[in-house]
Amino acid sequence: MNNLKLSILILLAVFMTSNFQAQLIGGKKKAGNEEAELEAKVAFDNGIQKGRIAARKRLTPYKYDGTKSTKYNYKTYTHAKEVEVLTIEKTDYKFCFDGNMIKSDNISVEIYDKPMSGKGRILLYKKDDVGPGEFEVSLDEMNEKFRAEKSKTSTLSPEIIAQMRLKKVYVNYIIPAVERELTVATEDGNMDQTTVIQFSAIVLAVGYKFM
Amino acid sequence: MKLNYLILASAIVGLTVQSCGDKEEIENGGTTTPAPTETTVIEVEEADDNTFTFVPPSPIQIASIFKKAGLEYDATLPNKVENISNYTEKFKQSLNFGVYSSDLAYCVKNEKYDEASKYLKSLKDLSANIGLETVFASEDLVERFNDNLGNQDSIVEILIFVQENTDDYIAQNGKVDLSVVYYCGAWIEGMYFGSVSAKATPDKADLGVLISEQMTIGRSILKGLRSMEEENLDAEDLASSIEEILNMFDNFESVKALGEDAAYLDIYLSEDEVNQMADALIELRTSIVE
Repeated sequence: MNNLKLSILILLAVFMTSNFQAQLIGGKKKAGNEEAELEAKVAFDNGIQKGRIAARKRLTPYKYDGTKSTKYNYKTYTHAKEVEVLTIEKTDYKFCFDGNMIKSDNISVEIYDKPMSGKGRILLYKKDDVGPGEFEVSLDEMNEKFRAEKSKTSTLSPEIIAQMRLKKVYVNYIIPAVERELTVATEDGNMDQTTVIQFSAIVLAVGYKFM
Repeated sequence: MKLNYLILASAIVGLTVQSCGDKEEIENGGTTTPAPTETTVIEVEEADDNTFTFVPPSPIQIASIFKKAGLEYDATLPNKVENISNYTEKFKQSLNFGVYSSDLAYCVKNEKYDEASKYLKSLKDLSANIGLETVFASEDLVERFNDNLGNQDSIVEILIFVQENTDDYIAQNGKVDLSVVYYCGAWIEGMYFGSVSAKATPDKADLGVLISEQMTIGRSILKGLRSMEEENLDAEDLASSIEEILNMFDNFESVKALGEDAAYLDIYLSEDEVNQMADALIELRTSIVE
């Protein structure tokens, strides 16, 4: 909750204009505010772009394969967003995450061998409490984890399991529930109930290295 | 859509903070408890879109992997640059933007730099038709490319730079549909190179494994085409063609024998299976470049 308040205050500097309230309730926009709104969008997009560049820089010595920035908002319930990453044989991959555009409560990042709808999927990697900052993980590590888990549950021979590898993985961003309803006093002393949505984003850059 | 939600979010945040400020002034002024609640109903447009998102291997990586598997260069294979004038519809232009991306990577990986230079120019020309001209806006891009001909590492770096710019531009401008279509074109072209080579050299088991592995990517592309925001009959036709190939693959004995584990193992197709796959892929590729 404190994070939410802090985020609101930070965003104040960018978004605040003297007559926002009247405009919103009245459903009309004035030219000056459109400019401020555009600035807000530009600031948000610039932040993401900065994250994309930073994440890509950390791929070295792996070669660049792709970048995916995932935008999300916080809801009153926990929800998840998924990104599928495809991989090719005899190649290691590095996944570099940049969480510097996480503007409210921290999220969790989990990586699986199957999509959210898949039965019996194996958790390959998990990082909780992901906020502003960077971290990375390699496919090699996840392949090892995958084979170790498979050997516990599969009836396949160890030789076959040793040949198994992940051809795609599913990155899940688990976004926690936050309170969005705020009740605040207006100029005339009434109380307004306002829904606050905090937008955030996390960036994933993927690089490859032939083995 | 994206601009809308940001605008709305900005407005909401602005409203909230301003209102908080008002409250403080009232309290400082000694005002007692505020009057009964009046609810302001705000229409909320969510930022979330549930579009299927995936990170596929780049065209340069696919070209590299086929090269590593022993695929020989064949000058007759890449799509002719003259064909560019045949692509007048945006869908076909987007698709062939991908095709030419693969052709460029194929030429570079095989050190055919003069041809590569022509493909870079074709990409630049096509980019203007599909809204990606900004990617090639850097005036010295082609010049830098030409200055580094013969130095594969530098040329690959330039291709990566183009790829990064393309990815960024697509992300910033919400052109996800375009990225799916152009990547589909790149994938089909890469598969085409592999298919022709696999038919010519059936003893190269690695190529069969690579082609079967590419079906994993095909499944994601199919999903991407079917998740496009804008309804598009061309995309639907293309998706159906890819689905047919995937169904054929799934029904091969070599695949069925592995069951669910096929998702995690190299699949060695029989010569007959490789030929069937290759024929289907060549037919598909022919249809998209004509």
